[in-house]
Amino acid sequence: MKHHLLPIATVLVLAIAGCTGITHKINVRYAPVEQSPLATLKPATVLIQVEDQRPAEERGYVSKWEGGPLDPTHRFVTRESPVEILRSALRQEFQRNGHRVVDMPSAEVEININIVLQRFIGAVVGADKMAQIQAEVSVRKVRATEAATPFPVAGTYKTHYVGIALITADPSNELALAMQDFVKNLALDSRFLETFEQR
Amino acid sequence: MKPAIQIAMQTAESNNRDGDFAASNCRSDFDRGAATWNARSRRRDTQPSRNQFWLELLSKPACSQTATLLLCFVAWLLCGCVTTTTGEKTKPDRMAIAQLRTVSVQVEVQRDFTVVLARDELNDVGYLTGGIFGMLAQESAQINADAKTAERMRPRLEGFDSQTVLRERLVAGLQNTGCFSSVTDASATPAPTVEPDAVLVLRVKCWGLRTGMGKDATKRAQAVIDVDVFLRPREGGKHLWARADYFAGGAARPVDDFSKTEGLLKKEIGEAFSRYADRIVNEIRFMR
Repeated sequence: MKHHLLPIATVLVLAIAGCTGITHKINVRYAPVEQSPLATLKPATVLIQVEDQRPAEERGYVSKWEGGPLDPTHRFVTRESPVEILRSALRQEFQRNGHRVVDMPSAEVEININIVLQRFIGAVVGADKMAQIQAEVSVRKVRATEAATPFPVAGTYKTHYVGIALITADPSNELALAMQDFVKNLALDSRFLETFEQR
Repeated sequence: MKPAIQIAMQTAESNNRDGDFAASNCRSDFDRGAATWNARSRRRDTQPSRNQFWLELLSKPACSQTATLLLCFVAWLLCGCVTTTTGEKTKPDRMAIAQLRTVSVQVEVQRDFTVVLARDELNDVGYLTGGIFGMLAQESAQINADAKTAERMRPRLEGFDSQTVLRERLVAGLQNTGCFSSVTDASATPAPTVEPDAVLVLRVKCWGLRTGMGKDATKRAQAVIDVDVFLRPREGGKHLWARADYFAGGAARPVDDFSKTEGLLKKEIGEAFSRYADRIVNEIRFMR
């Protein structure tokens, strides 16, 4: 009887491990874009508002990884909320390029940037570790009478591993670089630039 | 005589045949031992013999296979350190790009519409049940499943030419920037009369549907494009700018939606392509 106890216990431990989850808290640190198109624009006072409209099932984590049915699920959550991370990255980028960013609506505000965050997610699939940030952005001059038309902006980043043995599931680096891509794509978008240039 | 000694004696005798060792006179065990020692030490002195030993060893089927497997394993481990990433590969040479007057656009698509979903599923069932062979069998089944999904969806892309969509959008976008006096299609027939100062090359490595990430990552898909893009000067040489992109700008939807909903696949892929082309146009406009 005793001989059977060890395999049974092992299977039980593995099964329990497979049902459990481990939560990892990560920091996503934004590194500014080297040469941003924002530097070429006339300085403005900007109000940046970020709204979280990510799907409900993606709000609890920024990445989830499970090696196999018997492995525990690793959930990666950011210390700051993705909304705050994105807002802070944009604030940093605008300020660095000579613009003034305010947090509350005021008489000084010249441009309103409204970002509806739709995705802020990382994943390990196959031999790739990737991250994606997606949002609907509307940029509007405060004095404009017509409503701004939102346009989609995305930032992605992918690391491809030739051998899968060395992949770590932590998506913080990929998310930071996807955010850099997002900020750059926003600043390069002609609809965004036109609003700034037409002041 | 013990087998080891026997071999030593044979070696000594073969050396003796060459005329430099008198092993044939050895009779006692002590002498035999001495003969072995001397034969070995002489072998150590001669490099070709050592190489011959390894060659002989490796030529034996079992050893050869083991060594090959070992080398493959070491190579695989070393390859584990190799990563490729998206992003800028060559920083833009702004001076040179600002001087460009005529540009040609060349789009190369390396693969047809591809679905990568089943093979992205992290699952060690194959390995647990059949080791390496089980893993390979599982991988093969996953590749087949993806190929079948792609085949099922292909009719939904009838009339969609990925190369043309990208090329036309890029040419139109670059013309609209007003940065160049002429933007031509490199594949046009007859060939453009204007010799371009540089060629913008888009090498699409893969395009189609891939993981939607998040919940049910391999059951929800989105349109993606995996591209290498570079600006090559007419005279060749170093690229003026290069980057690699994995562009996934579309919405993540259940895989079946793409095959069941009329026009959805074409629309999503078309939009992803157009947005990516716009992004490249914007980058080039900013460089000037």
